Amino acid sequence: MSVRTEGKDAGSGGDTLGRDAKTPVLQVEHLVKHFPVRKGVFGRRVGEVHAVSDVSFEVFKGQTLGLVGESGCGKSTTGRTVMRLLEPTSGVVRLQGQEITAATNPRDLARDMAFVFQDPFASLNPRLTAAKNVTEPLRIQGAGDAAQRRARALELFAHVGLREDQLDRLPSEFSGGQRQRIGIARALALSPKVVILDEPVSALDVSVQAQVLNLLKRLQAETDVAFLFISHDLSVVRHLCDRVAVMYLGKIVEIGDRAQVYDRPLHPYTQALLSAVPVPVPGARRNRIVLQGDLPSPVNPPKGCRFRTRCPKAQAICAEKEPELASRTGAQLVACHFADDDRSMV
Amino acid sequence: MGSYVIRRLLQFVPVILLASVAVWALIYAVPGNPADALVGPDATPQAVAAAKVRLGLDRPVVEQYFIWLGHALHLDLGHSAISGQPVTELMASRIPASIQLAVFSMVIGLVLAFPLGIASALKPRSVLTKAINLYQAVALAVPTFWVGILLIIGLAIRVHLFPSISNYVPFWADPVGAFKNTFMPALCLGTFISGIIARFVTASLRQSMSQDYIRTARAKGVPEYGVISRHALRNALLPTVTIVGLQVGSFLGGTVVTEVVFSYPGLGRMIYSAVTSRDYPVIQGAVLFIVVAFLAINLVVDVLYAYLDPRVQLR
Amino acid sequence: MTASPATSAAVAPRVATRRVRYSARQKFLRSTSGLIGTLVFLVLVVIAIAAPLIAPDSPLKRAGDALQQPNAHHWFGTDELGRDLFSRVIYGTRLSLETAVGAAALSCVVGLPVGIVTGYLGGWVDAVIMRVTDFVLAVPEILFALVVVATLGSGVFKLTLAIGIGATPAFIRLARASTLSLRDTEYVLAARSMGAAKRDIMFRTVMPNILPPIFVQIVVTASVAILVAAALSFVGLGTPPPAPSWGGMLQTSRSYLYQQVWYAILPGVALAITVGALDAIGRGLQQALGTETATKASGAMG
Repeated sequence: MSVRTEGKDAGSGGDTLGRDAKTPVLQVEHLVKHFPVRKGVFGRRVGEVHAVSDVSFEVFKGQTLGLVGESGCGKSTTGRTVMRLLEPTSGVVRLQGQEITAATNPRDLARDMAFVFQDPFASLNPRLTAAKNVTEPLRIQGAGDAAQRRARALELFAHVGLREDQLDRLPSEFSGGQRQRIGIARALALSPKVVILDEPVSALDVSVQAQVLNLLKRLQAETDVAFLFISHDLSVVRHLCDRVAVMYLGKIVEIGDRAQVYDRPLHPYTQALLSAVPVPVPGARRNRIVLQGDLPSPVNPPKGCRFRTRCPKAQAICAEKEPELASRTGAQLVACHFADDDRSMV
Repeated sequence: MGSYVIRRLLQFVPVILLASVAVWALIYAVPGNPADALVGPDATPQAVAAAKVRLGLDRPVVEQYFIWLGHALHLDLGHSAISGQPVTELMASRIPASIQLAVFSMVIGLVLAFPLGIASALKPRSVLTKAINLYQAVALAVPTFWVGILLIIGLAIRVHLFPSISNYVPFWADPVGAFKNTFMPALCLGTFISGIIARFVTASLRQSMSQDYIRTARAKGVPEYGVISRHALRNALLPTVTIVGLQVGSFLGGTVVTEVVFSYPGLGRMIYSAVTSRDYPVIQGAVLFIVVAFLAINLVVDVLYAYLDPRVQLR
Repeated sequence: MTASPATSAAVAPRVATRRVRYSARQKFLRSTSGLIGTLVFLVLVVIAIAAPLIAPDSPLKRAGDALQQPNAHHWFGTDELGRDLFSRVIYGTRLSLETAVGAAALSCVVGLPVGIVTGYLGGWVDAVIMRVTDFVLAVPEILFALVVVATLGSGVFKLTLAIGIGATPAFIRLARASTLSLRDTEYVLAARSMGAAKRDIMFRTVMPNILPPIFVQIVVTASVAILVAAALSFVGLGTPPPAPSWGGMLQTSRSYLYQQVWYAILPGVALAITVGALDAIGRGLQQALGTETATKASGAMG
């Protein structure tokens, strides 16, 4: 397993799953993002939203890491901070081994990393034609002349399953699914190494979702691009991702291969999430774990384990000591004091 | 609520300070010597020298500003370069006339605007509404001073109904005289603002008529008259308060030309005379007063609005 | 939108027409006020450009007896110096439109970029500029122009400058507010994710998308500029005589109300038609684009 243990050197944690030959294309280490909470007449800083608290993961070439969690868990903030749309409070992001800092030219970063947004109706510039939208990254890089860019637009259109005669239409003339194809084409325009997809299908109809997911799969097979796929939808993540990271209240609570996480979840939160997914087999039953209480405020997260206020297994130790994200039974990493106990729930 | 008021006040102070700097700097933008500009064209060299000392014009520029500001804070805005009268006194003598004109105009504006605005909101596709739209367009397009001339031609020269020169007659001293003298300028200004207010009433009434609570009221069987008067109109009034407040604010100094047409002795005509005779202390004082008054009215309107509709504070 | 009753759309079932999505241009052309306003305004532009061809006499030279009533030779009559009033009103169109275009162009060219930059970058510069606009917006437009003219002196250029400066804050506010509302939209974030420079985002991504309300504001400003210029000329502080300004004509006409009443009426009609045409275009645009403008409604009151 190539996910390294917390605090150790990035290259040293690998055991064998056939991946150790590959180096991660994107490494995120101890990423923290706090937002100030201001109040009163003078905008006094009265606290901080702990949106992302010490998050680490890696994304490998040609693979997809799914980042799942409820809304408000910090998964989108994580994606945006990695892309430098938000300045991280602390932590390190490495792209192909190169550290990204505040001094990194955003234009250089954009050559290797691209972003696909959630809302296909809002993420395209409404004043530019589809072709111009798709080749904006080239224009910004100053790559090619108008004719070359148009040729590239045509190529990208063919890639994502759009027709040539649609090149000069405005975004408003496309359906949601088509627009998301345009958004994906734009992200691939510079042949980046990593694409961060922030809930790319959650705004689409279910039938269209499947088409777009299959498109993403095909594109990944063709181009060897790595995806960081952010979603709240466990079935979508299962369909697409090689590995899965589960986030709760700004922290990753469990991370591992898809099969491991889905078939044998170790963290009580993952177990609860999976128990809520509808079962496609008629008559099949499962014990649904219903979480008690509300999501605590990220301004004032619980001491110790952040999940303890809603955890069915919580003990005294959970309030005192924060569980580390660590390997309990080999490959999978989980942050829970009682991860080894009782896995019979699913 | 308290913090909202404080926040608004904190925005208010820098704007007024800025206005005071701009008004003070006006003297330096005028070609020639500031002392000459402040004392007037006919002053003797001795008077100019005396004024220089009194106003501190021999001191560094920044100090001059603070001397001037210190005077202004004590309501001492200097003396008119023409009549020698204190500027504050001069303004105080004009303000009642301006207020009376503003009140008359606003009454006429509201009396015209509400029926028109409501009618066009209730029957959006009727011929009446088209006529009202045309009225609004004309009211806004026709310059008030030209309406003034037409009124004088029609009602003062052809028919001797009103005097062609409007004096200030206090309403409580002589209501009939006040009406005769103030009606024509007030009609000019009132028609103009009725165009603005009516459009606003229509828009906000239409919007509130499309809300769910109106459908609920209708479903409950509230008669249509009650639906409009008790539910829709009440909610539509709130945004209208703002626009009326802003119009009142713009009556100060925004009525220069109308006052000139009717020779009405309000603040506007005082400013006009000051500008034509280059009476800079009066111009300075009047502009400062108008800015402060406008912002104060705005503040009151905003706070009132926030009080009536607590959602505003969150913005 | 005012649907013209003659079109088939009005005959067709309403459900069907509702589902059609019209482009802004179609909507504008279907609004009666926008269409009429545009036609009238085009006629005025032609008059302004072709004034020497249309006007029978010079606007500045004596063409006959003074203070004639309208007649076959002098359609609008003559003024106190025997000049042909029709010719003067025709040339006045040119003067009015020059001021309108000049003031609107000046305020837009300055206000739009300043508003976008302060809105996008924020910070203390933004705070300072906002307070400056607060101050200028607190002074009625007519008074602002009056004071500027009192300071700088009168003349067509200074008048245009004074009105243009007074109208700039409205553009700043409008551009700033529109920019703020776009700053966190996904397509602006997308431009950032593509590594676009700030200048690129402000002027290539944001600016084209905030233009619709700016167009409306340009038209509104032009209309206000014409009214304010006329008002200032009317009180003798705008365009100095003998230039044929409508406001100036109305001013002089007041001394001859008994002798030549049309002198006091016709320049005003020209003024009202011009302002009305611009207002109608503005309303048509506003309906077609569905925008609200942050204009100072009181500015043109005079």
